[in-house]
Amino acid sequence: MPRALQVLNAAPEGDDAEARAELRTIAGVLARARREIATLRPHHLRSDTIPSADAELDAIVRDTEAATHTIMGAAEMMLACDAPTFAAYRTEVQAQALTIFEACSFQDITGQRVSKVVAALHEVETRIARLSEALGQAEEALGGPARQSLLNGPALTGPETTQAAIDALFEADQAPLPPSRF
Amino acid sequence: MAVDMQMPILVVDDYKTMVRIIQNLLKQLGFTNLDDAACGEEALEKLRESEFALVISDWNMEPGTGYELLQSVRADDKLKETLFIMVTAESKSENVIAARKAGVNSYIVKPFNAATLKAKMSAVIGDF
Repeated sequence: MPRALQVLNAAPEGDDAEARAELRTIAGVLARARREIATLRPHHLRSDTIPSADAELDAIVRDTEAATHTIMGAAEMMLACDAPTFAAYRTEVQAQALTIFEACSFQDITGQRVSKVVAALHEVETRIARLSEALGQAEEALGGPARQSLLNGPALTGPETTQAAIDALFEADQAPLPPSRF
Repeated sequence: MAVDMQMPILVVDDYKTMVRIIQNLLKQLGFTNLDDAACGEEALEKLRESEFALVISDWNMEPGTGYELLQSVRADDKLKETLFIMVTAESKSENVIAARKAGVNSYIVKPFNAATLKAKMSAVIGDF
């Protein structure tokens, strides 16, 4: 039995029975929360799961950046190719095209990394849900500053507003714009 | 009036790969007087130090988003006439409307291709 409850039960009853009952309820909730937190293995989440996911995401950014630079480098080489003969030009282009194919293997690696991150997120989500249930917490509406509402990043299934729709918005609004001096 | 292909253009994006993509596309279009910045804050510093005809900027960057950069440019008497094209993955209509109200000249949603960049630039600086 938690220490708080022991103290409450051992103290003589007085006029504050209602307050004691409330305190016993609170002590019970806290004890339940502590037990639930212990089963969540927060130390494991903090020391292993989340840092691993962070590392995987950092690696994804690093790998995709490296692959993109390799691909662009090969494309730049092809564009700048000034071989003396068509045969030499073709050899150079083929070599660079092969470099591009090799660089595209990043997609396989990053796909696997993403799967690991998703698994880590599921683990965290499950544990939070269990804790939330144990505490009987209702979800609160989250508000954010107006600035954050314009920072959403890329939509999951492609642009929410197509380029054509954006162009139409601009055409509809014919407000004059500042002229350029160039 | 013919477009000055030597016009100084500032490309602003926190992803170096995107800066490289846009600059390569601009070079293919014939523009070679290019500079870049990695965030709104750095871009504003460069804009106050040198003259740029056109800014091509991402939105989602820190410190200083592309939207905040646009607002700063339009609020500055010396910079307010700078042409500004937003190139961004922010595709909600609220973003487009906010940028338009802030004075953006054109808005390109990512991913985009060379033809779209050329078309939007032509709409802003003239045919080339």
